[in-house]
Amino acid sequence: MAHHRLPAVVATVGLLSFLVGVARADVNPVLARAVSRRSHGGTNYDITLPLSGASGIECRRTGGNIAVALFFDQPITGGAAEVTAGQGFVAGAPSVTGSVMTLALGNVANAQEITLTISKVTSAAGGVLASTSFNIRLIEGDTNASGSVTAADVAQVKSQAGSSLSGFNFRQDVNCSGAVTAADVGLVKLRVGSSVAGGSTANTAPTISAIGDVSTETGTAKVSFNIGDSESSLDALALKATSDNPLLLPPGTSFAFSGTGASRTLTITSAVNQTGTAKVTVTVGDGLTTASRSFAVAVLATPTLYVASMLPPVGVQSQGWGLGWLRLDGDETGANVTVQTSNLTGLATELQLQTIDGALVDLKKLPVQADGSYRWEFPSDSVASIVAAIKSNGVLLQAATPKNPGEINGFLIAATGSSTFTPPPELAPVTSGPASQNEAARFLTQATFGPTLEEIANVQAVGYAQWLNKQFDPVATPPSLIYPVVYRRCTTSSADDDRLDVELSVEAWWKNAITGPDQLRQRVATALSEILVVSAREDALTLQAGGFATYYDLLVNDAFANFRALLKDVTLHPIMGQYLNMRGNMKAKAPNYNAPNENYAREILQLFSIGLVQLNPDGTLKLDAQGNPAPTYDQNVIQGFAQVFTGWDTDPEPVLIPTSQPSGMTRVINSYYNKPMVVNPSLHSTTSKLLLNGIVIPANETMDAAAASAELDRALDVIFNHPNVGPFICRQLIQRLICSNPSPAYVYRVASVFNNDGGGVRGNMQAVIKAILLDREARDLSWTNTPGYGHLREPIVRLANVIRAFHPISASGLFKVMETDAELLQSPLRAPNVFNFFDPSYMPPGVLTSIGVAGPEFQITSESSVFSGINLFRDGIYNSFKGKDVKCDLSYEINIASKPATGTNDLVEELNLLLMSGQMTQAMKNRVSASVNSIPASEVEARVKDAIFLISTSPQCAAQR
Amino acid sequence: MPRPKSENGMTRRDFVWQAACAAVGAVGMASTVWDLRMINAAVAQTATPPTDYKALVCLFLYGGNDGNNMIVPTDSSYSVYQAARSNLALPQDKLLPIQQKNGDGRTFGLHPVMPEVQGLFNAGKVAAVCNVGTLLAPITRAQYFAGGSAVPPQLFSHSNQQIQWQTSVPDKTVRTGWGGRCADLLHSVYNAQSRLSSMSISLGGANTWEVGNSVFPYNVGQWGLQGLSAGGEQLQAIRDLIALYHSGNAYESHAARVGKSAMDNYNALSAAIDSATLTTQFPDNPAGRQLYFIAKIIKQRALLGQTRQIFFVSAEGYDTHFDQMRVQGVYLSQLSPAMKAFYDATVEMGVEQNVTAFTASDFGRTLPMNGGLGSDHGWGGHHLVMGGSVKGGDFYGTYPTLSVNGPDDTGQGRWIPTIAVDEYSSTLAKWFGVSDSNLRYVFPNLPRFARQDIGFMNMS
Repeated sequence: MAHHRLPAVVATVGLLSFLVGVARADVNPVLARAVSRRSHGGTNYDITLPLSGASGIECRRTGGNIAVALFFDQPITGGAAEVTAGQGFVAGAPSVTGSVMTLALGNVANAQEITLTISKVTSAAGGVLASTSFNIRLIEGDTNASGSVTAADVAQVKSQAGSSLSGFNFRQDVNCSGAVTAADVGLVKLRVGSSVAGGSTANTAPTISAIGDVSTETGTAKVSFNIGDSESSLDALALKATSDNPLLLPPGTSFAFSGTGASRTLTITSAVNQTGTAKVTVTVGDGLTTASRSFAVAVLATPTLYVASMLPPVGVQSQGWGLGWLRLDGDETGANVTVQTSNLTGLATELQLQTIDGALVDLKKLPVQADGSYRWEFPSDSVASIVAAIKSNGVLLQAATPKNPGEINGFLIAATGSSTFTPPPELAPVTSGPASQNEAARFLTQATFGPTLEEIANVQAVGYAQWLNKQFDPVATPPSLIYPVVYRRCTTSSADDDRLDVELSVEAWWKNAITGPDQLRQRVATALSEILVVSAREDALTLQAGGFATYYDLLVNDAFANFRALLKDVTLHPIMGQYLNMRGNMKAKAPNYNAPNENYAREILQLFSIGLVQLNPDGTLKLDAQGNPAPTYDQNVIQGFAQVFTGWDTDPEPVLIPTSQPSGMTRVINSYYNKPMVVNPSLHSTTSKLLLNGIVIPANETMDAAAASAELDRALDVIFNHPNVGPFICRQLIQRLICSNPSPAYVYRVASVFNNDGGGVRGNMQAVIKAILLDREARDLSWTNTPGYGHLREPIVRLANVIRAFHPISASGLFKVMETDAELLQSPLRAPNVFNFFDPSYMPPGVLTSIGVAGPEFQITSESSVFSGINLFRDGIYNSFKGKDVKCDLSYEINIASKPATGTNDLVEELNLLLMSGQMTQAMKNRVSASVNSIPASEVEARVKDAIFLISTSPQCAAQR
Repeated sequence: MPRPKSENGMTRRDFVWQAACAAVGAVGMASTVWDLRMINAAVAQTATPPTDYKALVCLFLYGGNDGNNMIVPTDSSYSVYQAARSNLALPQDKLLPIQQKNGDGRTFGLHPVMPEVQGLFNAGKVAAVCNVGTLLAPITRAQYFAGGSAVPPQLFSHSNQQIQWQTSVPDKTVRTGWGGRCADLLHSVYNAQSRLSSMSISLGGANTWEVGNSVFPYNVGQWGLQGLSAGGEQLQAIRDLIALYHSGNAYESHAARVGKSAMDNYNALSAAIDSATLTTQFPDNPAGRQLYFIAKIIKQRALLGQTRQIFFVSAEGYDTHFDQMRVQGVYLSQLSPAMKAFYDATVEMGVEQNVTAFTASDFGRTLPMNGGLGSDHGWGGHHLVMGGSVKGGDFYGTYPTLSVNGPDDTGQGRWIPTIAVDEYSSTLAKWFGVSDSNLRYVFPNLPRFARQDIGFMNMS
């Protein structure tokens, strides 16, 4: 074998050598360029040395070695160099790197011309340059390269004295100190009169292409241009930009060049909050001569963007929707407004902008611009009020049709976005901790339904990472489900409050929130229940107690799964199917049934995955080149998805629930809602279906169950892979767990993990949850001092926090808490509608609006609920929580408070840890202690309850940060 | 016209606007973004208000009042009634006769326990509105039986029909009531000097009727204003913690601000109620107690800075499946003197022209008696409207033919309503000050019906 193969290998090697030889052997190296190089305080600057014609002039000091770099046209391996005329020698052997040979000239005298001869330069390919030579003049102080040192050189050096050194003035730094100083002036003065003949300087000026005027509304602009030079390396050319308006474009911070070779880009950044115009001059220089181009830069005030999501108001019979945006001119004298409506009952006859004080304008009466936007110049007598209304998010955009005078509308809400996305700097998550009890408590406040002393100690003992891993591990920490609780109650008891009612699910939620070892899972599932919303308030669901429980259990089971799996499980759950009308949805059937129901198609896109507008990876709006938001889909897409979501209904094989009846009999209830929906292909649409991004599922007339299922998977894949999903979903999860206003960088970091968990997997919820909780913005305490950081605790979470903290006991063992709609304006799993209890962007008027941050949870806070909430907490702490089943065993706290002298102080500190992660101010401690101490020391239980009650209902505790 | 400024420099309308943005959710409601948006568009169209005073009082008879026994024919059709009702038939000679000013010759009597209402009716202060119920659109018996015509979902279900009565939008999941939507329109305009954050006060607990998008009901129990259960030093500590927010965190300071507003509301209202005196005596029953507090709040309307007020009263016990003769008698005998006392109190205060009270209920009840000496859930029912601006002493609408399988029946003695809740309610809302153009916001389904004014109110 070996013998057989050997010749072939040899032949191959030979062929390669032959090919290379053909390519290069007859091309000898050619010296292309030479420079004289000196270090000026650490930075090298080169003087180009012409290879023919008048010789180059090195004007810098001759003492010490002068480096000469020789650039060949191809890689070389070695060569020799010597000074063949004039005083001086080549010190040592030249060094070679690639196609560059560098040598050192030593002992070179001033005011003379030398000849440098290079010989026997061999190329890597085997070619040889036998010999070539060129001249160099050494004239210290001849900064303008005229051949003699004159008053002109002195003046040139003086003009640069004190300027920072650049490619434009390094020749004036004759002593190579790194700065042009009086010493250089003195040195040149000393040399005035010295002169070396050698012809006029051969230098030709570099070139620069024309640059067009630019304007920007963002404060930054980029211009591209080309530079050239016949002798010098283009990379060695110096560039500078100056403006005639330093207030707008301050030197030093406004200009940044990028690019290499001939193609260069100048990025212009204006001073913050400055507008105006400036003439900018870009100059290119080779050390001796320069070329310049000027252009105008107009920095316009940044238009502010306001976006409206338009939907039919209550009672209006319409499936219409729309998106509108207003770009308020930077100078606040007018605005461009764009409106896109879909699926209206007729043509929009009016597009009104309104405020609480009345109609502002009908866009339909305004001029339409090239980009389709309406141009609205504010009437001069009401500019201020219009601008104020816009800035307070108080302008309503409403579309009227012949049938509906106000068919759809939406408020224009301030939005941030950009057309070019720059990723924020990397910021690694925390890898260790917690560093203290307080930090452990703070972590548990975010990751669970509230810290307990035991869990604080646990997190401290094992650290964040291991705690999370154990929570993620379904063997170590199995999911706590509510269906078994509901099932057990209604199958073993005939008590009236154990009837198969959806209320049982709400009550069972409390058991797992309070006692579930899988706290992280429960907390995330609850967050998901407020994004992928179904509601126990829905009449059509109240009888489906079993099914309803399995929907929440789905969220519990999938909380640590992949988001794609979650999306499919939610889509096929009959409770969601019932809630948003996918269950029983059918393909169109002539003559009466024109189109499938679009409800689920609309909400899965708008609320469950991507939202109405395209997002940057950090959750800010992705704007087009003109600064406009870009819709994610249109009505045709909704119709396409609606076609996909046809043919699905409950599995006809029921799940049997034997329930005990008051009569003593057992009644078997057939539940069709406990397992995923199945498809009836004969009711599934066979038409082609437009999905996102122009993706189309082709028509299929031979539809079967497998094909219909495949279409569903295809459609869910398309949604799942939309770039919006990461930022859209992650931002809301952060809002539920950590803070209402995560920075775009925080959203970006988490969304990046959603997009890729590090192992190439998209939608890994465990990785996302970990990224949320271990991000610096969640963990670093420095963030907590930012006024807009944190969020208002949701009422049910706040209540769970208190119950968990103080050793809850349950009379029934079921840890039942009854629904708290009336007292807290919130009960678990009882959102008023698919838009959840609150809007993620809701910004309450007052301090939050003034600093521009959202406070969704304030949407369910009213004057009445403040009192009813406080009373509910008090009843729970003093007696039992609503439903009289759960109360707290306060013996531990009573023991603490009983200690003489330090009892009150220790108690308050204990509660500070459990309820406020140690964030209580001294003033608050003092006030609470005073109240506690006003109760006789003998009534220690009353003291404990007083402290728990005051702290847990305080505004300080309500704000979690 | 300059806006009135309040102490903190914020105009009342600013405050309301902010409250509108707050759009707090409540029982049976949470603002969706679009709910909220709609109402402000409507507010924008409200004209400059007059300064007169008006109050609307909803008496919600929970459980489904049997109108068949509240207003009973005493003419030749009594025998039809008697035959159909069997043991539920009230004796003809016990019925309290009422005289219609513009009757068609038919005669009726009220339930024997309602002499006070009888007096008010005959004095022209109470009107009867016949066969009112939830409807999606007018529907005939033929259409009902032919199928295909829309009827409200979940007919005959308590919770659904209560909510449909209160929202007046039976075909949509709506979390606001028509009273609340009136308040959205009117509060900021009429109550610019209000010392309360709301013009809607519930004496009857949480309800959907008063839930608006921007104006939110303030709850006062039938025993008075529910304060904090904490008192003394503890209450002072709560106040101090609210007053002194410390950390500079925006969520904390806003939570403190809402807390302070809750305290201010409570203080203003409790002080007003405590200092109000009335000579009119109210019966000591749930309806009487609730109406007594309403009368006190009306008396202090100027102190509270309000020229439009909405009140909700809950009267329970009308779900008379069993023992109806006794049970309905108990509750109507509480309601009747309570209504009379309330009317008298408005006369005492000189606002009888300015206050209108009306009944509402889940549904009427079946005409035939069931097996438990009671009646079951029906559909249309009869209602009473009371006040000095009511064109009283008359019937409005058509009293149904009391016959199973008769022209008004769905089959079991459940009347197909001939007046929609929308029409009944819009008549009241119109009187209350909602402009014709704004009625469509309060009653989105109203255009489906022929009338937006049934005619029982003096609109001047």
